[in-house]
Amino acid sequence: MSSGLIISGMACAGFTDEGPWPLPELVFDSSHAAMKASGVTKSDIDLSIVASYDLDDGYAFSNGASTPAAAGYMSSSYRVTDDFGVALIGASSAIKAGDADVVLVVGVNPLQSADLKKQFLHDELVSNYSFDPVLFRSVWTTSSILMAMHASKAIANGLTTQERLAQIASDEINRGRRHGRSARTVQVTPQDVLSSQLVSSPLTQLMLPATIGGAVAMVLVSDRFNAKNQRARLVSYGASCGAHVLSNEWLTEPESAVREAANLAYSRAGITDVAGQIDIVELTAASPALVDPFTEALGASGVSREKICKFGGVRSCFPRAANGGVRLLDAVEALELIGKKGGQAVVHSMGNLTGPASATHSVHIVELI
Amino acid sequence: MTASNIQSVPTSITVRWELEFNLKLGEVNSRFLEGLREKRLLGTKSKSGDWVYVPPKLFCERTMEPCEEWVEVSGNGIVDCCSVVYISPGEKETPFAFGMIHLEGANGLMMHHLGGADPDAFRPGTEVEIVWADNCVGSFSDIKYFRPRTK
Amino acid sequence: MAGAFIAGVGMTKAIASHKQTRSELELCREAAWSALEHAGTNPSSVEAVVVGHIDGLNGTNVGGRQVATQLLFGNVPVFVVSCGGQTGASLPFVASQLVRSGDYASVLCLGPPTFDGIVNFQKTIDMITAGISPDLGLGAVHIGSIFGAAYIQKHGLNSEIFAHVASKARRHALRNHLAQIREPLTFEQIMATPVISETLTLGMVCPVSSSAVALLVTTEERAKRLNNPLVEIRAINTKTDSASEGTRTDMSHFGGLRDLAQEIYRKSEITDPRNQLDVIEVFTPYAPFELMHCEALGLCEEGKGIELLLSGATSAEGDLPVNVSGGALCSNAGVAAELAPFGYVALQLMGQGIGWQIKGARRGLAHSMGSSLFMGHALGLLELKGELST
Repeated sequence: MSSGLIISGMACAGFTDEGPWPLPELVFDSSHAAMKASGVTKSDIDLSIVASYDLDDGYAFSNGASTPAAAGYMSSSYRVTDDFGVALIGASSAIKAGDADVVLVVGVNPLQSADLKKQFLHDELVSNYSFDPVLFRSVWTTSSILMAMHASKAIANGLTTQERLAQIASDEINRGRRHGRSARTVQVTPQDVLSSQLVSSPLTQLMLPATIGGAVAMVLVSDRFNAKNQRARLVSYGASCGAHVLSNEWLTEPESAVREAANLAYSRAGITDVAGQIDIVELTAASPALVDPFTEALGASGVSREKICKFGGVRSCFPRAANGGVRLLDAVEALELIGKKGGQAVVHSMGNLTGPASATHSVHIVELI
Repeated sequence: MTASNIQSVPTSITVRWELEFNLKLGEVNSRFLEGLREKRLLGTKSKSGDWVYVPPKLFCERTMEPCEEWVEVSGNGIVDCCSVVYISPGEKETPFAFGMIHLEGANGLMMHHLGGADPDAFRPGTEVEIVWADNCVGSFSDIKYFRPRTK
Repeated sequence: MAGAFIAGVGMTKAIASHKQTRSELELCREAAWSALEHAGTNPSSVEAVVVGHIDGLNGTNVGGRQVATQLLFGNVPVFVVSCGGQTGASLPFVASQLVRSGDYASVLCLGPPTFDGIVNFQKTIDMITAGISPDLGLGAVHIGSIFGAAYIQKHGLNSEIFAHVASKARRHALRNHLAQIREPLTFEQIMATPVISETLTLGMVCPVSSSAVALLVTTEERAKRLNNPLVEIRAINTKTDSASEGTRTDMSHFGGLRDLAQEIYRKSEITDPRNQLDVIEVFTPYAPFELMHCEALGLCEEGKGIELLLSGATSAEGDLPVNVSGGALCSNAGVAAELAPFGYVALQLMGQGIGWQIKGARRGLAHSMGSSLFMGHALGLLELKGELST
C-alpha cells in the first residue's frame, strides 16, 4: 500500500459544555481551522466527505447543511452516515485512485440537549430506531442492552467481573479527565463507577461511552501535493463489518471484525510485531467488557496499558459520528507527546448505533512525521 | 368459513420515530430572526466583500471565509422567477404564489411567498417590496409576503 | 491508472410503493443476487458494499447497514452513503474509487427502495430547513416547479413543452418491463392533468415507486473473468451546488451539472458530446429537468432543449436517445431510481438493453441529482471496451 497519504491539518470544534451547537457552525469551524492548520484554501480541496447521522444532526438530508460548510460548494462531495473512520477510508481511496490530491474529511455530532441525561435517552432512542423494527425495535433493544448482555455473559463465563469492568472504566476516565476534549473531568474510583446509574446490568452509566458534542476535521493530502504542513502519515488501513445482530456474533465473538480489519491493516503496513512496532493503541470499546477482546484482536495484548487509549478513549470522549476523528487525533497527540519521529499508532474506530452488530470497524495505522 | 373469520396475514407494521430536537440557531440565525422581529432585514457580507447573503450566512460558501460584517437591506427587490401553487402539503390556502426574489443589496436569491395581488400577477422582473406580519415574533413568517411595489 | 468496470446489473420491477408487499431486504436481496448472477459470480466474491439510504424516508435509522449485512457477503465493510437525491449515483462513484485504489477488486452498489414505508413525506421534508424553519407550505415538487418556472420565464417558453418530455418518457417506458408506469399518455392528456404548481401538471411528475437496484463494480481483471462485455466507468464524479438560495443567482439552469459535465468530458476525452455519446439516462423526477440536463450536458444551447427533443434526436429511435428506460417519470423508487441510470446505460453498452437496444452504443452518460434545492449531481461516463461478441 502506498504511504503517500499525509494528514496535513487536523482541528476540532465543540467539545466543551457549551453545546448543543448548530450543525453548520461546528462543521465550518472545524473545517476552517483544519484548512488553516494545513495551509490550504477552498480551491485546493478536491473532495469533501462528511460523516454524520441525520438523527444526531436534527435535520433531514443534513448533508445540505453540512456539505457547503465542509468546503463542498461546487466541488466533489458525499456524506456517509457512519463513523469518521469509514469516511477516512473513502478519502484514502480517492487519493490512491488518483482522483484527488486534497480531501477534507469531517465528522460531526452537534448534540440535541445540554442535559446529558436527556441526551443519553435521545441517543438510546436513536439506537433503538436503528434496529430492525419487527424483532428488535419492538422489544426496545438498544446498543447498551446488547453490550450489557455481552458483559453479563463474560461475567458468567468467568472471563471478567463487574468490579474489573468498573476498574477499567475508572482507569480510563481518570487518564482522560484532564484532557481538553474530555466529557468526564472528575476523578472517579471503581466504586463511583459501580454506584453510578445502572443502565442495563451489569453496565452502569460511567461504563458507557461519554457522549459529547463536537466536530473533527482533517485535511488529507497526497504526496503529489506539496503540503506546507505535514503532521502525520496514514500508513495503511483495514476494514470489516460486524455481522448482523441475528447472527449473535456480537455476543459470542464481537472482536471478530476488529481482528479482520486489524490483520488487513497490519499486513498492508508490513507490521509483524505489534508490541514492538506500535507505540500507541486507540480503540473503540463501547463497553469495558470489550476492551480486552478488542485489545487482543488488535494484537496488542502485549502492549502496556498506559499506551492504550492514552486520553481515556470513549469513556472520556465519544462524539458519535466524529468518534474516529477523535480517536485518530488522540493517537496523533499521544505520538507527539512521545515525540519519536516515525512513531506509529493503531487506531480502531466504529459507530455505536447497534453495538458491534452491522457496524463497519476501521483500523488505521498512523505514523508521526 | 366466511371471509370475515379469516384473520388476514400481517403485511406491514406501523412504526413511529418520536424524537425531540432542540436545534440551536447559532448567532447568525438568532440575529437574523431578532432583526425580523424589529422589522429589519439583515444579512452578512463575505470577507472579500463580493457577496452579501440575505438571509445571513456564517461563512461564504464560495471561499470558506467567515462572514463577519452585517448589513441591512431594504426589503425591496425584483422577482427572479415565480410559480403559483395549487396543491400544497402545508396549511396555507391555495392557490398562492411564491418566488425567488433578488433583493436590492443582496447577491443571491431568497425564496418567499408573493402576495397582495392576484397570484397570476407576478412575473420575472416584477418589482416587489416586503410586507411585514402584523405581529412580528422573530420567525421567518414575520415576512408576510412580498407584494408588487407601489412607488 | 487502473479502471473500474460495471460487471453486473440487477433490478427489480418497480411497482407503486403502496402496493408493495415485499420487504426492503427481500427486494435488495433479489437485486443484489441478480446483479451477481448477471455477472456470473456469487456473494463470496463481494469485497465491499456501498449502500444508499435516506433516514426519515426509510423507517430504520441507517438501515442500509442492516440490509447489507444480511446478504451473505461475510464481514466485508459496508459504506452507507446518504446525500439526498445525489445518493444513488454517488454509490458507483464511491465504489469506483474503492476499486481503483487497488484495495478492493469487487464492490457491490446497492440502491434500496426509499419510499416504501413513509406515511407523511412532507414531515421529513420540513425537517430539512428546521434550522430557521421557513414553513412555506412547499414540498420537493414545488421546488421542482420553480426551476421549471425560471427556465421557461428566462427563455420565453411555455410550460406546454414539458408535456412533450413526459409524453416521450411514457412512450419509452412502454417497452420497459421494469417500469412502474407503462401506459401511454399523450401531450393533450398530460396537459389535462391537474396543475400542482405552475409549470407542472401531475402528468409531468414522477410516481412514488418501490424497487431495488444493484450494480457490481470490479477491476478490469475481475470483469474479464466474468460474463459480460467490458463496460468501463471512464470518469465519474459529483458536484454540489448550494442548498441556500442566497448563494444562487439563477434557477433556470443546473450550473453544477454543467461544470461537472465539462470535467467528465475532459477526463474521458469527449470533445463533441452531441456526436460522441450514444445513450444517456438522466434523473428526471420532474419533466423540466430533462431539458435542463440536456443543456447542462452541452447537447444543445441553453433554452434549446425542447428543439432537440422535438427533432426526435433524444427519442429511442433518434441518434442520441435520452431516458430510453422512461426514467424517473415512470418509476421513482428513490435511491434505487438514482442508481438505475447506471444499470440501464451499462446494459445498453453490453448489448442487453431493456425494451429498446440502441444499435452500436459504445458511450453513455448516467446521472442522478437531488437533495436540498437539488444541489447535488453525480455523473458518470460509461464506455464499452473492446467489441461485443456476435
